[in-house]
Amino acid sequence: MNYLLHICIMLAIYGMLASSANLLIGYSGLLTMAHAAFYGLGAYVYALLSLHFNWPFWATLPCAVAAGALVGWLFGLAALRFRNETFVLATIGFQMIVYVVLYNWTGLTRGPYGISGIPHPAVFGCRIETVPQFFLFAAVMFLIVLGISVLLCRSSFALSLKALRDNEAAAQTLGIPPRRQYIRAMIVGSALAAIPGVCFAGYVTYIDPTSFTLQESIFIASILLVGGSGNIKGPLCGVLFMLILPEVMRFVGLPDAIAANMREIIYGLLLIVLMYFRPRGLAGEYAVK
Amino acid sequence: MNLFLQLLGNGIVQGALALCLAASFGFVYRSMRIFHIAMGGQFVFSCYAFYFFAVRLGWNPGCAAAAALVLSVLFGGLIELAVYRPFFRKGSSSGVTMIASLGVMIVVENLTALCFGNEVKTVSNQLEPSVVLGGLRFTRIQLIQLFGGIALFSGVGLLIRHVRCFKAIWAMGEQPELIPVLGLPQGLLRLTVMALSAVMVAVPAVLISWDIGMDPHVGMHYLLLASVAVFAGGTDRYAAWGLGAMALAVLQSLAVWKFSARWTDLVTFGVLVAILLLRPQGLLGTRKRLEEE
Repeated sequence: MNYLLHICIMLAIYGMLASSANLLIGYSGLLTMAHAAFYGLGAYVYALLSLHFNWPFWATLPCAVAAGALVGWLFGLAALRFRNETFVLATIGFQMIVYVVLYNWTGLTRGPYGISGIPHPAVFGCRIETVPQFFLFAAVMFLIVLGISVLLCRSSFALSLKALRDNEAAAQTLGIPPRRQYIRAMIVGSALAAIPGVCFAGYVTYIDPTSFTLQESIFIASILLVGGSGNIKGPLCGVLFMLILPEVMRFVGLPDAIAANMREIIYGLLLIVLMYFRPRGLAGEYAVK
Repeated sequence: MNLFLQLLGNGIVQGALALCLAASFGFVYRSMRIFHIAMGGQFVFSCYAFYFFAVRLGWNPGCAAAAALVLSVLFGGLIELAVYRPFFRKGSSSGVTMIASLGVMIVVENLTALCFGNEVKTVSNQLEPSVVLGGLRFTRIQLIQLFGGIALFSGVGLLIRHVRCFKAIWAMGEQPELIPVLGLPQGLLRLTVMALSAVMVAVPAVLISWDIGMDPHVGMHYLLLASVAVFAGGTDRYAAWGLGAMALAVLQSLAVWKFSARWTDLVTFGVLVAILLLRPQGLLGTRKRLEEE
């Protein structure tokens, strides 16, 4: 039972990540490869504040969100001068810089040793320690993030992002300022990405930089490319597919050493095939340009 | 001071290989307008092809390197015919092709890991003979890397300037739609670009794996180095790729002197961010009008 609940918790965490990345990739058309950096930022802010300053969950969560928003804003100011491949390369650069800092700033992050003994979150005086409790907590957090995403996606803000994504020059003639709207999207997307980071750190109670690598960012982007983006159901479909597939492969009887590589090979082939036959992904609205 | 000079020398040796890697990425990016992520997979493929011939089959390193080079060229052709060409014919966007290229790299990396394992493999366990040049010590393989890398990069530069086929490849990047109009064989030119790119990635791959070994996930590091070099130098000039690659490699090496080897990636991407912010067209690039982009 705990195994199934653990999978559901991971689905919730990646559901939040995919929903936040959807605002950038799906609605804004900005293929970011730096989402794991914001995810990691949330996790480290929670770990450091709760471990060293004994801050409660409800105080650390806004701090993590604010840190995500602030770094997202600063990053957006620089990276959003570019589009297409140059933007992708800028996001990769940012992701690598964050990873190197997390890995090497041992005085703050303990580098490759990671931070252990992170306290479980406590909500209304109740400490969330068991897997079923955490399942409920993750589900609530997921619904909150999903709710925010749904509200955003139905707003005029999302419509303006879609207009910019489809034809930036035409959208500008309608009075939509691209830079301002993209930076807003970056701020909101980064802030929302910090929330699953907090949940992850509180759940596993140990974090190290290897959870927030470029490969993780590529995986998050792949969720949206496979499932689809630009609507609500695409990212969720991607999360279900990408996270359930390895679990299904466990029951096929492949040895663990091979299963991880086989899963990656399937993801890679799927990316090629989907991009050719269905660039919008399984259930998405937006095809990458 | 001696340490500084030695690290500077090591940086130039690494830069010689980075020249070829940058050219490998740059050719495909400029001539075919593909952000060639699969280059990381080609790098891994070349490393392991060399390892297979040199260690598993016990061939001498020269023959193994030649065989790896041939296989790498064939593999480059296969990527073009099986992946890039269908997307090109379909008129897919550059983003879609880039993601397919990412898929190729993921598949190659993991197939390699399945066949050879995830652990580091080495080709040679012997101590390399070394020579002292002007007070700096270089191993034999470092000298091969230095002169081989510079000779290959310069040779290809000369071909681009003087040989018609290579001039056409360069021109393809400017206005690809004119290539069939001029009666030039577009498919063949694309294959030539991929073959050239494969040679430019296979040579450093073989020399690096011979020197320090390999693992299946090493490709991303060299792909990033090559792509940053091209963008930092300027995407539209061959010499600019070389400048970007050499500057990056030397800066990485000097970071080891001033800070520590752990911060070299920060230097790479710090340089990228700084150049993108201060000189988006690259060090030697020329600014384009909006309608040209």
